This record gives sequence, structure tokens and C-alpha cells, in this order.
Amino acid sequence: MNVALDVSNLTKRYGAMAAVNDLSFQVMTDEILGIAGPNGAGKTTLFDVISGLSLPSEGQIVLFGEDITARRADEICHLGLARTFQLNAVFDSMTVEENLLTTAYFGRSHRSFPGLRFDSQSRTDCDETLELVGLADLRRRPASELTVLQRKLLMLAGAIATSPRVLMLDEPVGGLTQDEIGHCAKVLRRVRQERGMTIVLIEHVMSFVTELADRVLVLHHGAKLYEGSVDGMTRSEEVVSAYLGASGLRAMKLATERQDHGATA
Amino acid sequence: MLGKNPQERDYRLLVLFLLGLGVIAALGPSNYLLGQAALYLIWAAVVTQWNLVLGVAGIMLIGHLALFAAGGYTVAMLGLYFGLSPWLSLPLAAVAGFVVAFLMGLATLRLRGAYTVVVTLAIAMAMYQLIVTDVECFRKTATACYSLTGGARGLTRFGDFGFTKLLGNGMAQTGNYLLAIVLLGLCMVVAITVAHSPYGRAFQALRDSEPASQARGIRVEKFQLIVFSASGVLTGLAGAVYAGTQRTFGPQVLEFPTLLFLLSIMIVGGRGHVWGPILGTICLALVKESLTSFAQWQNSTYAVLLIVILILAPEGLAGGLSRLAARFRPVHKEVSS
Amino acid sequence: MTDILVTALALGALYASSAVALALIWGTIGMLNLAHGAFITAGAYASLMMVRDLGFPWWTGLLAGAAGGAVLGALVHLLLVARIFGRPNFEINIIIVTMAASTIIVDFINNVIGPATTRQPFSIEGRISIGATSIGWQTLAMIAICLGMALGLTLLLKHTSLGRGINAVAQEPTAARLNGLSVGRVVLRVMMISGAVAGVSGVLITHSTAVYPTVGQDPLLKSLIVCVIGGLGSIPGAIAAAFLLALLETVAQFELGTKWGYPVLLISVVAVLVLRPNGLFGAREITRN
Repeated sequence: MNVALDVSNLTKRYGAMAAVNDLSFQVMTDEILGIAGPNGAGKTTLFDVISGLSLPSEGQIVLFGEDITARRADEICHLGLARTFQLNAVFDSMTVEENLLTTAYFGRSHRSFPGLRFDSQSRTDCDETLELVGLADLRRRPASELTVLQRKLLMLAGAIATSPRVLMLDEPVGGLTQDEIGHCAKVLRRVRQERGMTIVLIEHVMSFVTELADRVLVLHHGAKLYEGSVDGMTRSEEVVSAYLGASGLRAMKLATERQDHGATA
Repeated sequence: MLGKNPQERDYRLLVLFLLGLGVIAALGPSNYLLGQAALYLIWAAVVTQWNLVLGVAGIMLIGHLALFAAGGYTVAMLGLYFGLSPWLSLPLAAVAGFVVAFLMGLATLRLRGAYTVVVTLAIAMAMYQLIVTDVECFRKTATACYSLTGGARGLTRFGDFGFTKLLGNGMAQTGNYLLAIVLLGLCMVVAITVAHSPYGRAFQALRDSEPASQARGIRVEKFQLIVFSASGVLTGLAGAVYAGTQRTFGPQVLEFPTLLFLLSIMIVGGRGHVWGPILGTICLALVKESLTSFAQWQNSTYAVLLIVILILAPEGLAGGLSRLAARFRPVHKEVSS
Repeated sequence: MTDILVTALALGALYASSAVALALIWGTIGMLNLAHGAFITAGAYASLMMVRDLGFPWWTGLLAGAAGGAVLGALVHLLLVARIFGRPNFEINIIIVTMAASTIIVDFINNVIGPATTRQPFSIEGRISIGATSIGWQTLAMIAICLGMALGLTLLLKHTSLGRGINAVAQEPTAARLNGLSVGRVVLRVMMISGAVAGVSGVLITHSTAVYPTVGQDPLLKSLIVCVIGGLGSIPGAIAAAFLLALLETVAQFELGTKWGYPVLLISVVAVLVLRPNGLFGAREITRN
């Protein structure tokens, strides 16, 4: 088991406030790590810093042995880390297919001199991703005409098309119905199975986290509140009092029990 | 119908359009009409390049005409002071356009939105001011004093493309017209190729969402510079063609009325659409020609037209037409999810 | 030396009064108002008509300028801003549309009132000496009015309920709306206030120079540069940048010649923005959509 992502003593300050505070954790290859925590706990800031959209104030980030602490977002993408956003980020003026061709072409690896045509590798990546995510029938549809679920799947597909080794998802199922959430869980499980992907996901929808995550990291005020198994999280007093609350705890227990009894999504 | 994919369709439409324009020349229209048409074709060419930056890439470049001026003044000054024929100055004009565009791109690299507007506008205005306040004598003749850049009057007598010699007497305007067709053809080929290429998609991605583009491996600064510089090459060339066909070049091209006219072409045609500039030019040319008795209100007319289209039909003529065409195209059987 | 300072002071006051109007709109709505120059021109002409054609005393010209600018501000809001506020691409669309509106206004003045160059019909006689140089009472009055407007605007924003409403809309339009504030009404008032200030600055700018239909173009560009250097949306930033740039321009013109004033400003803009892409006192990114 290798370390896919190694974060050490990461701090991000805005003025006097530390949005991420001396955070250290590791993500193992092929595991799914869930990141939870109340709003304002610094989760999206953490993603921004790791994915290169923002520079850390202190600390180090290592991706498969390569230091990416001060690298640009596009470089980090080429090194194999792809992320999605809370606010839907797809290319609205293009069709589904064009979206994926573009991300596949530019995201797979660095291109000093882009060509005048999309190469066959990009077309293959695009087609395979469409199949994987289940959007193949919608390839000619303009992105602006998709439903909420389809947009989220497109954004996910856009990230997958860059052939990443680590996928970072920021609240992938926020605002979706129960059925839609189940659909997304199925897609993600298929992604991990067929591609062998390391996944880090931020999510408030606890059932989604418990279903998919091998381990969880709970943040509070930018610092680590808990890191460990999902089970352990429900038993941790700090997590319960700071984040879950009594009813949240009950919902979680219900979700874990459903899972234990072999209920499928 | 016209081709197996949108890109082929665009190329074939372009060929048809250019052939059509050429055929018009054979019908023997007056020299005046040919001259006017050549002028409109040159403006259309300029807008195709401006459209790449402002429309496709969504970069708020307002001072685009500085690139045009760079090309035009290159031809005018090389012709006047070194006797260089405009034909030979063409590549140099393209380089001049490239250099100014590259510098403009550099200056606005980390800027966004309104800041880009102000800086690019200021660059164009600075160029204008420097030219217009240039009154010192650079060349003296017995009767008059000429400044280096020609000042507010502009430059003349720097040569032309020599179509009278090449094609025969009375054929100068025909030659100009044909050259303008070639220029527009070249600009449109570039626009169509870029639009369907990875470059075009990268520019579009920049416009749609910068953070998403970056997160998917598109280096924003690099592509911003690329789109600026590329547009400068052909815009500089267009300036050169203008200078050689109109046989005069002055700072009027940097004034607000010209800016507004070209902006109207872009918006009415459909900002960001490949066929927008041509459609917009046809429309605005018709408007302009029918306004000859109301010449003092022509700027307002373009302005009103621009405002109306922007508010009521923001996709412009090209957007409207493409939506119409989509309704008549056979519907793919798509399984809705 | 005092010559330069006095000139720069007068110029700075003019730039400041004009620039704060622009900064107000940008800070509140996130809109770059390219019709600003037309507001300035309209104010100058309103004053001209009030005093020269209607025969009222000179100081009513200022009121006419304010009124003319306010009316135009309201029109631009109702016909243009209100139609595209909140729609996609607001930022670029409003720039294009106000540029077009400016053309219409200038064309109107040109064709209906006349393209001839005239002068404002009032003047205050007399000068007072300061050190080695002297300054006219008219210039002093102009400086006082400019500073008064800039100060008045700042006070309005801090201490009135209208000002609080403007700040609320500027910082958090959704929250403002949820708290019962009519964003449209605030925007209308902002446009009218900005128009009024621009109109008065138009009167002041032309108080001793010619009045012609495109007289607002140069002040517009200068205001844009001043605001951008000061940081779009920051009113104190605009005031500070106005005096800074006036000094820079005056020094450049004294030392290098008049035609270098503009290029020096341009170099300053580019230089400042390279180092601080949001201007010297720039607000954080303002995204309205």
C-alpha cells in the first residue's frame, strides 16, 4: 500500500485567520477517504490549496512522491490529481463530448505546442469516460441544457477524462435526491473498480460518506478533529459534539446498520 | 448536407461565400462599389480576429484597433521613408501587429474584466495621442512640414498594390476588392480552424470558467498570450491591406466611431460565433449605406442597433440562424436520461 | 515648483471629483460606466444652457449640471442597467452598452445643440498670491467644490441610510435583498448620484476651457485610469490616485512636454497593475454574477 497523497503541517492563513491549521494526513493508494466537518471547517480551502488554486502559507504536499506544494493548478492536473468543484464547473458553451475532449486533451499531460486537431488518444479517453459515467447518449447535448444530476456527472467525467490517479470531489452529491445520490455512488464505485482510483471526497450527506469511504477525516476550524474508520467516527465524542449532534449520530448509525445488513444502494 | 462535420461544413460554406464574392466582381459593378465593398471586407476581417479574443476567449480587449494601426502605419511609413512596396511590407505589418498584441497581452496577463478594458483602451488611446500630437517637423519640403507619423492628417503617397499595372487600367479597385476577399478568406480559415481545434476549445474554456480550465490542465496565461498574439498577426495584416488599398492611413482608425462600428458588427453578428463577423458586416453595411441622408445620426443608429440586439437577442444574427438551422436538422434519436 | 503644485492641485481636484462618480458605480454594482464621459459632457452643456441661454446666475449652472447628470443616470439605469443586471455576461455587456449609450448622447448633443465649440459664460475675477505664484479665485472655488463633492459623497456613504443601503448592496446583494432592500431602487439612486457628481464635474472641468460635444472623452479616460490605479470601487483610493496622477502628469508635462502626459499615465497604469492587479487600494474581486 503506497501513500498517494501526503499532507504535512499544512496551514493556510487569510490575514490573522487560519482556514487550514497545521493539518497533516495521508491518503493511501486506491482508498476512498471521506472528509467531513461543519461549514467553515476549511474543507474547500484544503482542496484549493492541494489542487494548486491557492498557495499554502506553510506546510508540504506530496503526490506519489512528488512535491506539489508550490505548483500551479494545471501542472498538478498533469501530475495526476483532478478535482471537482462545489459550484458546478463545466464548460457551458460546449457539448458534453466537446467538454470531455477538451479536458482529456489538455489534462492528460503537458502540451508545449497543442495541435490543430484532437488526437486519437483524447477521443478514446473521451469515449471511455462517457461510457464509464453513463453519459454516452448525451454526447451531442450542449452542457447548458443538462439536468442538475447530468451536470454533476459531466463535471465528474471531465475530471476522470484527464486520466488522474487521485480524484478529489468537493460535495459531489449536494442537492441531489436520494435516488440520484445512489446513482452517483454506483458510478464512483465503478470508477474505482475499473480504473483503480484513489478518491478523496468532501461531503455533508453522511450516508454517501459512510457508504463509500474506507476512512474518514473530520475537520473543525481547519484542524484535524478525527482521522480513522467510519465506525470509529460515530464513537468519537469530539466528533459527535462538534459536528454530528445527537440526531446526526442517529442518522449515521442507521446508515451504517443498513450497510451492515447488506442493503445495496 | 454540406459536409460530414461542422468544421467541414464551415469550410465549404466559406468557399461558396468567397466564390460568390468573386463572381460579383465579374458582373462589373462600379469602381465606387468595389472600393466600398473592399473596405467592408477588411473590417469584417478585423472583426473575425477581435472576435477570437473578445468573443471566443472572453477577454475584455477593447483596444484591438491598436493592432490594426500598427500594421497600417508599418506599411505607410516603410513606403514613405524607404520606398518599400506594400506587398513587401505585408509580412512586416503582420509582425508589427503581433508585437503590439503580444505586449498588450503581457500587460494584461494577470488582469481581468474591467481592468483589461481600461489598460487595452489606454494603450490604444496612448497610441492615438502620440500620433495626433506629433507636430514636429520630421521632413521639410519647400512648402510644407511633415511630421514623422503624419499627425492628425495621417500619411499618404506611400504607394499602393499596383493593380493598375498588374491588371490593367481602371482595374485598381477590382484588384483591391479581390485582395480584400483573399484577406477575409485567410482570416476566416484561421477563425474556423481555431474554433474547432483544441486551441479554440481552450479559449472557450477560458471564457466559460477559468478555475475549471486551470484545474483541467489549461495554463491560462499561456493561452491568453496565444490568443492575443495570434489575433495581432492577421489584424496587422488587415491594417496593411487597408493602407495599401485606401492609399491613406491616419489616426481616425483609433477613434471612437470606428471602434463603435466594429463593435456593432461583432455584437449584431453574434459575439463568439464564427459567422458572426460576416453576418454583422453585411447587416451594418446595409444600415450604413441606407443612412447616407442621415449621416450625422449614423453612429447613434449603430449604437441603438447594438443595444437592441444585446438586450433582446444577445446571440446575434449567427446565434439566431444557428438555432433556426437546428430546428430543420433531422433530430438524433437520443435516449433521454 | 509651486507652479507645478498649484496646477497639480487643481488638476487633482478635477480628476478626483470625476473619478469618485465612476468609483461609486463600480463599487456598488460592479459596473464600469463608459457613459461617464457623456454624463460629464451633458453636465457642461446643461450648465451652458442654464446660464447662457436662460440667463440664470452662474452658480445655477452647477445645479443644472447636477440635474442633467442625474437625469441621464436615471435613464441609463432604467433603459440599460435594469435590463441586463443579473443576466450572464453582465460585466462585458454593460461596458459595451454604456459605450453605445455614450455615442447616442454625444450624437444628440452634436446634432441637436450644435457641434460648435463654446465657453462657459461665467468667470470669477481675481487672483491671490501663494509664494512665487498666484492662483485664481475661480480655480480655488473649483477646487473647493470638487473637494466638497468628494467629501460629501464619502459622508453620504457612511452616515445616511441611503449610504448604508448602498454599502449593503455593494457587499452582499443577496443578503440585502433578503433584508427587504430594493436593490433596483438603490442602483437607480447610485446611478443618479453618480450622474449628478459627474455632471457637476463636467461644469467644473470646462469652467475655463472650451465646451464641445466630445469634451467628456478625455476626462473619461483619465477617470478610468485614476479609478483603476486607485483600485476600482474604492472611493478614497480614487481620490488619492487622482491627486497622485495629477502630480505625475503635471511633472511629466512640465519636464518632458505636453504630449508626454498621456503616455506617462499609461505607463503608470500598466506598472501599478503589474505589481498590484487590483490597484493600489483595490477591493477584492467583485463578481456580480
